[in-house]
Amino acid sequence: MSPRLGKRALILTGGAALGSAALPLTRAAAQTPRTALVIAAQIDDLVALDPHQSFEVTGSDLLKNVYDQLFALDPTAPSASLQPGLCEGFTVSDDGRTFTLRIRQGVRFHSGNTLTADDVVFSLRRPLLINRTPAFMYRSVGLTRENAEATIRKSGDFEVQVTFDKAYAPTLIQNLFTATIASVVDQKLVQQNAGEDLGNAWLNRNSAASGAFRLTRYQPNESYMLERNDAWWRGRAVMQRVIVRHVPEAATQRLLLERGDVDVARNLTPTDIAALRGRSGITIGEFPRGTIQYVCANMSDPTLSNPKVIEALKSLIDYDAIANNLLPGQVFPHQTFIPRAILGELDSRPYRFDPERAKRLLAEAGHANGISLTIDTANSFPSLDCAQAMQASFAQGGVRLEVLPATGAQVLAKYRARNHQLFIGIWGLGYPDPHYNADSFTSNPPGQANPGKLAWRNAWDIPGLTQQTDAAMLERDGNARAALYRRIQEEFLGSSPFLVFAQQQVQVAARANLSGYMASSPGLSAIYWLAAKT
Amino acid sequence: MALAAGGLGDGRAARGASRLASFALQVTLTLLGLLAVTFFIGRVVPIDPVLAVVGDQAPRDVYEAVRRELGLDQPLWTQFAIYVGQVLRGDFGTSLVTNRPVTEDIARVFPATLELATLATIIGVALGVPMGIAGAVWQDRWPDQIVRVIGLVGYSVPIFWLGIVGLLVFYGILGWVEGPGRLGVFFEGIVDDVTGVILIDSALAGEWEVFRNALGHVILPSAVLGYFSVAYIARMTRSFMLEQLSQEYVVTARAKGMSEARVVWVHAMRNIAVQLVTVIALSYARLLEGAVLTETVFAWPGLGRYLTTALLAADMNAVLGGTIVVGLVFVGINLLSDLLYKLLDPRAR
Repeated sequence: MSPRLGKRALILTGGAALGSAALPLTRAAAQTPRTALVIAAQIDDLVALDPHQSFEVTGSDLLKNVYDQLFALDPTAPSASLQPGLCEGFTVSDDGRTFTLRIRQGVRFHSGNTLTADDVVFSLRRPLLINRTPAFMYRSVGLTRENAEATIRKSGDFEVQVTFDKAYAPTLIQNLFTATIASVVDQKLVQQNAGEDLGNAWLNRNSAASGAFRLTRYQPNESYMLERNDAWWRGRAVMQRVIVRHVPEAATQRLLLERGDVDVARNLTPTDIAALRGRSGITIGEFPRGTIQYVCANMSDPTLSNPKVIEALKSLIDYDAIANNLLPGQVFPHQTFIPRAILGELDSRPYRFDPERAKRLLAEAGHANGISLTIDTANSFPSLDCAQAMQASFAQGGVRLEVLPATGAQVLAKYRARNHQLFIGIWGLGYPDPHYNADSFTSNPPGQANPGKLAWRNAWDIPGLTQQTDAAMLERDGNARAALYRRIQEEFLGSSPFLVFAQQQVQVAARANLSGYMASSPGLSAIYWLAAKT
Repeated sequence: MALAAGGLGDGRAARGASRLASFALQVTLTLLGLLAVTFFIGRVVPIDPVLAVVGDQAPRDVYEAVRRELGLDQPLWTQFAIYVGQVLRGDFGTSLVTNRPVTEDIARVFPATLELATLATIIGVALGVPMGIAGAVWQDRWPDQIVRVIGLVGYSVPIFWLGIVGLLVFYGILGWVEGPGRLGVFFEGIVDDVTGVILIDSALAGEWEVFRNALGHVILPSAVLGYFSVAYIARMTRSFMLEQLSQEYVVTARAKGMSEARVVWVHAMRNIAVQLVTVIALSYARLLEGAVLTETVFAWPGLGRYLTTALLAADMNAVLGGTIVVGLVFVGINLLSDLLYKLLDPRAR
């Protein structure tokens, strides 16, 4: 037996193993090139790249920087300000139903094809023909799959006529045509690559656009890459390339930013932001977005159908604490259904946290000993966090709140089936017009089951408001229209079963040498083409 | 003589063929059972896949149209029959989350997991086996204590935390390794996908810059994952080895004056080899299922995260496709370890 030799052999073997694992690696100095914008973001909710199918913000962020729409909202203006897009100007017929759109000349697609009225007609009909989720936005103004040929026509090489079922407000149509669904696609290129699906599958992997950037690479759940279009009609972007990489974990996004491997960390937590604030070389940016957070009460519930109970609940949300302590920088207080920076916005905030008032109201409603309620919430940030905060603030007014968390899709199914008492959720604007939200919050045509409408989901019976909402859709004068929405909101604030408590903003951390990048804009998407580096 | 030999050969071939057939049957039944269980569980969980597609705001007509499109208006058995029919033709359907064929998705995410799991297992074996043996040879002395502590830490520390701290120290502060993801953003798209394993593809293409970058990215997550294998493999090796070292043949070998290294590495090692292969194979298979938390922290687009995302979105095509892959991995690893047993243990031949 010679243990010494044995030990040496063992140590040698172990040492070799250790050595091979700890292979020395050197790395290049971290800094992104001056001509490229690199963003770390959560993009796993990006489902569709076809602009006529896409219906989520992550998709708009990409598509609005790649495709041009008929109209645009000035990204640098603080409130909604319409600009011409591919449509240079328009006239409306005497009956108010037919819009004649004058199409910009001299625009070329990335493929080199010239953009003409044919492309616009194809692109306006296509959403109705492929009939994916966002098509309902066109159907809501009377354009359908069946009448698309008749209602959307070419009337000149650079002129298109669209006839709606009613004389809609021009601002409504313009705002609708700023949305991703109003992107103009390269008809020739799409048809070359189309199967029987009008190019739907092909456009979900490729782009056929005329916008600021061209899509050069896309891997779901991994990354996408955009390359500058030097011939863009608005003037070429500063950055040659934009790379957005999917980084699911906030702490990881922060590390990447701190190391200088990305220019922007898109999804940080308030804790990360607080830690990065004041750090040299890093700036914090805040961009309001058209998404509101709300609680709602099911009016078919006997306890909740008493207006005094609802009024009491409205006094039990600690609006300031949510905005300042729970979600600092991620939201600001807001109490009506039209987000700030949209036509008809109203900064009226009549409610504040007042548990004594709530107790009084509950006693008047016959609940002197308080009540017990349940609230359904998605088991994720921020709804779950807000629901838990409300559990505490409601308790101060004698409302025992039971929080029922479940996965987002599960909660939604329950909500759409009207099986909730209270529900807490988030509502995003589909296109930047007040009608989009009014149609859901303050319209509930009697006798129709429509789970898409929030007023229906909460069994809120409002023939008067429904009529006012319909009328506001038709008001031709922009200022008069805004006034109508303000009146609707006043009524909403007083009587609705909705407790709107905040509007969201996107809070990002970026390298200090980056300017012009917008994580969100009045047009409801990120803006990459204004980004520049020093 | 020739005749007899031929007869013997035929008999062996027949036995081999029948064994192969029974194996194939077993695998098919296993996979079918796996599919059925996953399919029916997926259909009874209260998640609505239609909502995952159309979103919160969709009106009823859109909702109904998508429901019909997904075939969810059919009876459950019909849905299952249609699905199995498609699978038999090699069509796993389209993922609702990525909008791409599930086979294409899996061809992309599985190599990422394979790369990570293989490196982690290599680290686990290279460190775990010698450590376990050291622990057994110097039982209750300091090397053993160290192995025990490392094992205990490996078992008890959450991998999520270890990953974040690892990133913070080795990437954030020291800058020794590359950051999250499989490749630096500026290295993407240089090398064509052949196997999908970037280390192999870049080596085949001779793109050594890409290879170095990929290695810099994979080293930390695989070390973190590998640490858990090290803990497991070292512990098991130690106890197998301890058992062998107390056997009489070891005493005999020592009494004959054989060197300790020979006793441990040749005699005892041969006797624990089969058990060790089982342990390593199990730990490898577990890693090949994908490690969700590690993949999330390191932004690693692997199978674990793909399946989790799919599951949360009720994307049953993706879940079922992924389940089949995991099933096949286990079958494959079992088969491989069976072959290894025969190689290592003459009694099993």
